[in-house]
Amino acid sequence: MMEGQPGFDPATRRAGVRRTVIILILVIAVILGLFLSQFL
Amino acid sequence: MRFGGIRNGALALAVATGALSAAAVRANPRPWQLNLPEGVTETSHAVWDLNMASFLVCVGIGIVVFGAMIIAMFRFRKSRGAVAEKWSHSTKLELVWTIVPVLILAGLAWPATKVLLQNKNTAGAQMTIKVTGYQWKWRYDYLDYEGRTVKKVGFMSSLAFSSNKVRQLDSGLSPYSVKAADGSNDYLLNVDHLLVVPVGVKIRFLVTGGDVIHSWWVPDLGWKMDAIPGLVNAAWTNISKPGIYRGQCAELCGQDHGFMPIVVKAVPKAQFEQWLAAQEDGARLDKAARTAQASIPHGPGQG
Amino acid sequence: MAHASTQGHHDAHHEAPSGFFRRWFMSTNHKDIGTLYLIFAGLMFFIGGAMAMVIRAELFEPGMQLVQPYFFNELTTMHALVMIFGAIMPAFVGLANWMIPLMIGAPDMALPRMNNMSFWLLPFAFTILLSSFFLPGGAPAGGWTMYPPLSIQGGDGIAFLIFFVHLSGISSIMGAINIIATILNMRAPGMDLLKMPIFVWTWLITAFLLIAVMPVLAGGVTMLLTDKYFGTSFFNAAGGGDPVLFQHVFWFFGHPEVYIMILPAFGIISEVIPTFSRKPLFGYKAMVYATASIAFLSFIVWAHHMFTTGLPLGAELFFMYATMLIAVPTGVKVFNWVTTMWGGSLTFETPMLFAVAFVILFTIGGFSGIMLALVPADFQYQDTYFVVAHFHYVLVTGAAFGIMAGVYFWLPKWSGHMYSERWGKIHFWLSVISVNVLFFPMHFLGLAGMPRRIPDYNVAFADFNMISSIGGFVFGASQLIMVGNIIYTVFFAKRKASDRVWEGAKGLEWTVPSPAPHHTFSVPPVIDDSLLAHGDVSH
Ligand SMILES: [Cu+2]
Ligand SMILES: [Cu+2]
Repeated sequence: MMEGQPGFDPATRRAGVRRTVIILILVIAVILGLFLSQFL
Repeated sequence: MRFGGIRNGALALAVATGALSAAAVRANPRPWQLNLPEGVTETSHAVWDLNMASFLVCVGIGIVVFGAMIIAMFRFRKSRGAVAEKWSHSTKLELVWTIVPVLILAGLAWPATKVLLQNKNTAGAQMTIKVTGYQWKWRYDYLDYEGRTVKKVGFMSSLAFSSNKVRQLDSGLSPYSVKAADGSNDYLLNVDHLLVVPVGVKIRFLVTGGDVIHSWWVPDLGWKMDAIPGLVNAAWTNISKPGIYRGQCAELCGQDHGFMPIVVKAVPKAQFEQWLAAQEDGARLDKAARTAQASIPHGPGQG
Repeated sequence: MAHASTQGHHDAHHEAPSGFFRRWFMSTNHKDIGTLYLIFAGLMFFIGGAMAMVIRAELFEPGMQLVQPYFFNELTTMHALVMIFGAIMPAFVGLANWMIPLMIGAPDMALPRMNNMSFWLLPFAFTILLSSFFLPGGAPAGGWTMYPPLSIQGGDGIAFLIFFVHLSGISSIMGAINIIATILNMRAPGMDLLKMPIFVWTWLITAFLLIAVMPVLAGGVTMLLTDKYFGTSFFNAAGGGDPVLFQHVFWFFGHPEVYIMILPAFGIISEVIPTFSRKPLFGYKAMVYATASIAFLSFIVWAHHMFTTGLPLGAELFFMYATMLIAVPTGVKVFNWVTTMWGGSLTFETPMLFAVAFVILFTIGGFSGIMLALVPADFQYQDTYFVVAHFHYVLVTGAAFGIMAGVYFWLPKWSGHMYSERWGKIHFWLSVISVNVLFFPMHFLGLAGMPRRIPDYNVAFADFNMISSIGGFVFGASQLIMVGNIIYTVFFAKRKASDRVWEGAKGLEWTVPSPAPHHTFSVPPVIDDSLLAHGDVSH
């Protein structure tokens, strides 16, 4: 009863976090890139 | 400051002030004033109606929503033995309070659109005044009147001395002591040179900024317009009653943002034409005088 | 849920690190970082509040009595910056840190070390900002909106402000990334997205808003910086630039920012009202969709702050209609809260009192928002005290009351003790009365013609200004009661809080012991739908 459910794996979790962070950073890079392009 | 008809303008203004009819309205803000002034233009009346309509709609919604809430707070108190029910949604109800607000809002958007269209339409103006905001004063240039170009009538308008001395930190003077000619308090709402305009004439204002952004606002005319450097904004008014209408700079523009009021003096057309002619004469005389003295070197800041 | 408590006690063996420095400065624990955020926000609330007290004292009567006009402008500018970026936003991030892992059954935030850095950027950011008061030329005085050309006209205070914006922006973005990564990846099995508490939902959406707009603000202020120091002319009309461009960039950030400051409060209220109504939240799904619609619409309404800049007719119509449309999902939320109370079994502990006040007073702020959306009427209201009244209703009786409701609501869980209900109620009643005395007369002042950001005014505005100032002083002083109550609860209170704390409390956070042990949910909990707060969402 105290155990987690099957398939709840720390490695999957870490990979998910990494994927989320990369996507979000790409989004930010695009937004900032638009601003940087103003200086060119 | 040596531009145009300022010196003569002051004289002519004094004459005009004396001649201003007793029927003129005075539109200062009143103590305990709760609402917008109705103003003296078609636009300001339309805006006032819109203001009241939207306010009453909000009051209506407020009565229903807060009423329901207050009833709930009394009826469903645990201390009165209320037992919680279990339901947690109702598609029908949720549809109702999505659709009904859309309809109410559309009912407000419709008149707002109409007023806006009217407000934006500067076509057919019989007169043009250029308004330039400076830190911390206004400049008014009369560009044309009834199809002809006005010759060099323009002047600076800044906070009147009577207010300026009182408003200094620790001046020891009471703001209540600053009184207009008619006895009303015009502290921080009086200027050295008033903007004189005719009543019953559609006036186009070209509003721009000389240094930073300001905003030209006289509540009785029903609108404000930002004065932005590098941009000329157009607005218009048509004042229905002679009188003195006061306003202030509305966009933060630096340390004396609170001390650059606007005073519009609306006079009957004939009187305005007289005033304008005097101004133009003054400008011509002034120019002649300067030409005659052209050989005399000017000090800095002159000319 | 006995099993969860047992598990909590098991977790309690991993205690917090000993040593003050290690525990608080090197912390990677979501609870400790949440506490740090909340303490920081409280500190900033009082610094910003002190500035507001000076502003209200100067405006107590006509004439200049206390400060020079330029310093007055420094105060209004800094008051806004400190309250927005220092008090409201960090308080919500603190609540997110504390509660999101507890609510979704996660052991911690997804990126605990970045979490530490997000917080510790803030003290540095605010040291930079506040130190600008001591610069020659003083603190920035061009308003928190930083409109050029005015904002780059003064001394170097603006550079400090820009670096501050960069630092706190990085902090916010990292916080937002962390929150999104946590919510998307760290939920306990069975905690489906549509079973999450509304507070988690609102924060998820808020975090996306932050990621979308903080870089825009950073870009905008950087252009301001290069305009001032490196000879560019983005916003300089004389060099071919356009001052209005800055306003577009700023408000593209600024309007979503308003929702960044209110959506998490919506979340808190959506937790508090069902708890004290002992009834599931009405229309859970509608609440989620309404929040998402508000967030979407918040990107296409920014120019409603710029109606008087002379936008073309088409633009003014579009932004008016879009702005009015926001009233619809916002209305759905208000109606759903009221309906949640309908048929409930209500008690009025302090969090509920703040929540009820929130619903009424935030709605009043929404009403003036609808009035402001009507372009021709906005030509009168814009830049007057009517606007000041509007956004203080939204941000003080909205965002700040939401935070206060949340703090009273969760404090027993954090500290393990009950706060003093008696003093909580005294704080509430003093606050709710004085805040209306403070802000309601501002509507009248604005309508009667008083512009905002002025240090002195005509005598016609004297009466309402004096009333408003008195309300302000009482409101400011009342907040000390809350501080006293919190200190009492954390350090001195005897009455232990139960695990569930509130009779009607639902959700995972109430299944761990009070105080919440240093580590919780090291092993994911089993989700029992009937014990979640959202009610039955299956149809
Ligand atoms: Cu100005
Ligand atoms: Cu907005």
